[in-house]
Amino acid sequence: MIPMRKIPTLPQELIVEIFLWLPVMSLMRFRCVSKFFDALVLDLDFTHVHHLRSMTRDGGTRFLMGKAEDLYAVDLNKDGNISRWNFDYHDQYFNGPCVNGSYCIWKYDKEPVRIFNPSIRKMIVLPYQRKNSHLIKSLYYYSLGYEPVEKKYKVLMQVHNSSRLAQNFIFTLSIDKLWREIKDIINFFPCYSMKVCSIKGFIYMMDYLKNSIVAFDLRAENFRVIELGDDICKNIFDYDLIEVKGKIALLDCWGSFTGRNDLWILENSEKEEWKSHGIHIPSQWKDVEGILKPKYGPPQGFCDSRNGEIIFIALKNNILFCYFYDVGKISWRYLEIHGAPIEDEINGINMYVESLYLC
Amino acid sequence: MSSSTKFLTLKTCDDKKFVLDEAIAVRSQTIKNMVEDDCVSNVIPLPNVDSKTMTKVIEYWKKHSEEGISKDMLMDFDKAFVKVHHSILHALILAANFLNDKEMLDMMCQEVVDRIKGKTPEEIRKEFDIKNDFTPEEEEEIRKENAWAFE
Repeated sequence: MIPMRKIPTLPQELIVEIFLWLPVMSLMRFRCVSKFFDALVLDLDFTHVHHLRSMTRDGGTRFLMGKAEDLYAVDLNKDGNISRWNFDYHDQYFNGPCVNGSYCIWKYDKEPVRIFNPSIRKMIVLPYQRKNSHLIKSLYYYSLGYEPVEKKYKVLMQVHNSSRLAQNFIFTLSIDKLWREIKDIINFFPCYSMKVCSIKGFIYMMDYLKNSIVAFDLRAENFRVIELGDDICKNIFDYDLIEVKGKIALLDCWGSFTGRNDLWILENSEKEEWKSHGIHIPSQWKDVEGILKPKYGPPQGFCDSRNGEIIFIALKNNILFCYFYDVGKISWRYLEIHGAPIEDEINGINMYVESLYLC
Repeated sequence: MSSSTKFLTLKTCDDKKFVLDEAIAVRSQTIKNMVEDDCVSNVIPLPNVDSKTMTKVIEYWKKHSEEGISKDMLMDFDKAFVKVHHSILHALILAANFLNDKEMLDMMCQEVVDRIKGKTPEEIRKEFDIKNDFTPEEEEEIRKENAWAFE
């Protein structure tokens, strides 16, 4: 018999490099390998780089769908691997956007809010802001944001009740024990169907009353109003708030794409400089234009963005139709994922990029 | 162009010499730095790479430097290239790391990822020669906490 060739041992830094490309499920299993790897998976810097790589990693982006107690996560790739698990929280609302792989979950008229990371299937409950909150009729709105300078996750809470102006509170995850009220008063009413975006230390919200965008600075913990400018003549209701390559953008979501002014990107938020971008649908796809319109709403369709691509998604007859529009390259690609749950089995579709945060 | 072609001689740890077009050899950032700093005399020693591994590295570099090669052809080449024994894969990773060829290192690491992602913790310890420093109780606790990842 020929003796086995000795297998060269890889240094630890190369094993870490390899681990940065692993799916979350494998990493959760490999926490058992040794104390070093257990600590590695929990390390914030590792978590951060792993999340960035997951944006381009095959299987790193997943769709989350569910109804009642069943949750499904489907890989955004041609294989569309599906995992299904039981979710204890019955009335689930995946409100707001997914921030670094986690969602805020709450009911509009009740405290508390929960933070849910589907990659690790873990949920944490934040404290009540008011002890007897059920006694006072209030409306709640929450947004999760990541502050990259101090590497902190914060939740913005907006409370409305009939007698007073909106109150704003902030909670820094894994640091704060109580909600802190924000003194910076802003009289704006976030509509509960509104879209929120969290980019580079800011949470952006739409102000339907004043036809403007409100930006919340997660570090300074104050608000700023961004005007739409004279070129954007439509009402903000006609737009979807979306992130494009680290910039906030408004996507025209009614009617058809005209090839002009379909997307407004906020090039410079200080100068309130908006740049227009036209979207052309390839002629062979003209009949799917309905799908490309995000306002159709879940479960039929929605849109999200990742890594400079706007993704339009629709679910029909167990098939997820995904249209990717690359804003920089002005090009389209298309993907069909078979075997997804049927429309009747789900309440909605959400997209997330895998993350180890909250581990 | 051919008149300006420069050749470098690389010497592996087992004293084998490889003569290579400089334009190809500078895919290695390590070699490129040496060339730019002008500290290349006649022979570049590669003390961490053996000849068997270097032959594979050069095969990869030459293919990826071919003019007019299509993306699909490169993809097929890469796919076949990484289908090697475990020991060669590790040797190639160490070589790509030493030579500082990010593109090649990423590709090889990706192959390891595909091979290990479905494995058990025991198999990972064996794969990377890692000692288990948990007590059985500690290990059981982490296992229980993440039972879904073991399904």
